[in-house]
Amino acid sequence: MSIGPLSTLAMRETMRTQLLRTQQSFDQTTREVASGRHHDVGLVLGSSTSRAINARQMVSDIDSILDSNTLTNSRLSTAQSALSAAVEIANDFFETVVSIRQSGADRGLMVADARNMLGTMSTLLSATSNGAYVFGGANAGKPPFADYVNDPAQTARTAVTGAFTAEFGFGPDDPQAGQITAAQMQGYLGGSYAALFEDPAWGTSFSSASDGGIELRIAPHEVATSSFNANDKGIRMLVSTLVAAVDAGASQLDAETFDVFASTLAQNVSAAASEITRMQSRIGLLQERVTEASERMSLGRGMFERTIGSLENVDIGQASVRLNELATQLDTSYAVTARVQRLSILNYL
Amino acid sequence: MSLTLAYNIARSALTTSASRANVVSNNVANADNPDAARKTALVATGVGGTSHLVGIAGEVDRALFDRALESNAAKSQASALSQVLEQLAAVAGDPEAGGSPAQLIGGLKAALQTASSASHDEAALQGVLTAADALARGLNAASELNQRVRSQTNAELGSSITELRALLEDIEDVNRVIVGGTALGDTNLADDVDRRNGLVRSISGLVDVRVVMRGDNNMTLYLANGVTLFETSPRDIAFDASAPVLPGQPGPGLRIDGVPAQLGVGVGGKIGGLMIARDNELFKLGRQLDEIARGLIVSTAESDQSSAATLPDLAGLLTYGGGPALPPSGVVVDGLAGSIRVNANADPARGGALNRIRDGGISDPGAPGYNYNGTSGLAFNGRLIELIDSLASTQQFDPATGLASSPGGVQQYASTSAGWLNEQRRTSSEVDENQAVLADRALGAWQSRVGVNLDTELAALIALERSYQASTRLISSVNSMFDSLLDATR
Repeated sequence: MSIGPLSTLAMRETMRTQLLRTQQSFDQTTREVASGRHHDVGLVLGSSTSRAINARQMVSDIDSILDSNTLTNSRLSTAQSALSAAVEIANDFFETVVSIRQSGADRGLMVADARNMLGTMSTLLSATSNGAYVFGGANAGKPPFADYVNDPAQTARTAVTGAFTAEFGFGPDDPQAGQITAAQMQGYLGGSYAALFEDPAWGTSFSSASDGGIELRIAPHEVATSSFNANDKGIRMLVSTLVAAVDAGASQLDAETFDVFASTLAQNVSAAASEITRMQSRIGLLQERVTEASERMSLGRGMFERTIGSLENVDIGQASVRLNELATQLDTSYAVTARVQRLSILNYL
Repeated sequence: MSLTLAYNIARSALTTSASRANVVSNNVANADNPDAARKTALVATGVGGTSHLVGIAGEVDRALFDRALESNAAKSQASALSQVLEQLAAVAGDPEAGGSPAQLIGGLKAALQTASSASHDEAALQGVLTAADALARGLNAASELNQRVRSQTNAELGSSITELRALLEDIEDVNRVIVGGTALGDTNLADDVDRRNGLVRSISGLVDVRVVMRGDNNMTLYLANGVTLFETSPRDIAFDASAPVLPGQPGPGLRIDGVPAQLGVGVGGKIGGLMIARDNELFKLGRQLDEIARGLIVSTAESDQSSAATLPDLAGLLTYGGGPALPPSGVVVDGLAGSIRVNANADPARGGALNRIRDGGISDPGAPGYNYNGTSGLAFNGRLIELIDSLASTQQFDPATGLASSPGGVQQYASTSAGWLNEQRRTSSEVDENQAVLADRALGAWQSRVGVNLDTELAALIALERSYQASTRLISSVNSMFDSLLDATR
């Protein structure tokens, strides 16, 4: 081994730069241990940063969809409970009509019942979720269905009584109604009266709901359409039955005509109930789809979280071991530096 | 042989010892000077056995010195580039911090998603507006930061070039002294050579300099690419630091000895690093930001919804200085990221209306063709979902931005750009670290070889002390011999 020259400056510089490097990695490792992430994520990951960013975006996308799915679910639940109440109304009214028809009790009871139920229907169909009218379709800004009896504008009622008058030549409450035959009544209910509940008359006088479906982005690549609203067939049938009970001269009809009238009402109302139940099951399917999508996304979210973790996080155990090693190294370096600096031939001269 | 001769020899030894002690003290004094080489007194035997100092020689190791210069240039280049890129960490440093364009686009997407499930809700639409505003401002800030860093880099380049000129002038002076001294046979030039080496080392921090020595101790400096930097006098270095640095255009050029240095190729050192940063990394990042801005304007553009569409597509939620017409497709528009902003027609604070975010018609509220919501229902959300989708739908981006063209929407492009930037940061910082180690080692090797070791000098001093003592003893002995002789003859 040859002994070359070694300058004092070079020796000291070497020690200094080594010390500086150790201190730098000590500082970085301390930060990594404290935060659990790389000291400078972008610097460590390089081009993989875009993968981390993509994963983070997927997570934020999923989070926002999960949020809006929660909103959607509460909207659908609101609709479900309103529809359940509507089915109950239909069933109650069915019982009322049947019992009055059999017992011949006061028809006024049926009319009063129907009036109340129309009020309830208006409340039910005006259900809101997060400030939007659930049954309004795209037109969620105003209640889709006014109270038939108590609506100050009386738009629907005027149309109904107008149709009655046009058909028979007198109003529904006119005692002449007693002369209407069963066949005439059936012709009316199936003809000009039924037309009131078809488009476009339904839209102008009863409902302001819009038929257009609402798109729901329920997963990053899945769009479902929610297409229920107050214009649904079941709701029209129920409303049409209740309105007929109120404004088709029920209290004036003779017994034979009333018998046919009541049985038509009973048939219609039970058909309405089953139609509304079908609507409920359609909404139920949508609810299930949303819930499933949310569950799927929660799983996917975990996967993306793991991707982020594996890219951005440091192994805390490893980092603390390294920190200990660096501390020891730093300690030794200080001790050695101090000793070497004290070493001088001057001390021995 | 006579006593007088012995006396003379001893006397010359005293002088020589004093001169050698002088050299030692010079060495000790310069132990901390990184450029100082260890000096050795050259002593020769003169007439009749006397000793004379004939000169002072400095340690020289050309090979190690060249290596130190070269690695210093490489280190400076890497560290200049790395430091410039470090300033851009704010654009896309940490994926967790939400300030990067890619994350801001994610924010807009999330706001659109929220609004799509509550499109009747003004607050949700306001959320979209706020997110779009944050995105536009984020891009403005990123573009402005990039442009500012680029201008600063250019300014730093200017001052580095001024420094280089000054150093070359200093070298001219020192070199003239050394060449003149060598020609006259001056033997005490070691300190000047140290000084010249120091200046060359400073230059190697600025450019990748190569040293060629001529016979008369005349130093010539070349760049790594062979362009002459200094030959007896400094060569011309032309650089217009006051020229503006415009987005999408290379900065002012540098000509050394009439040869243009494009993209810092062959220049090296800090000047080369700064040129590369200015005309490559920062230049490309600026264009990528412009492409992100263009992608966003195209993604949020509105098209004619009437059955027989006749109106052109116009800039919607996000527009720019040249709006509402869309920027030309597929090519970068320089400076676009600086002028992208939220359309005033969607902002109630500037006379717009929030519901246009849901219904369309931001581009031209007067033209019913741009209205997406036919029935004007409050729960209409088709346009919002279309916007979410269009942020992800594939677009054509200009390949002249340094990003490999990958299929994907503007969001994907933004995150690829963030990845690109961090890859540049990572590479430059890695090269910087490696070169720093190499440069330290090369410098250390040279300093070890030519530098001063205090212990050696002190040991030499003791030897000198002893020889001085011996010489004085000799003189006193000769003196007493003369005394005895004179006594004898009295």
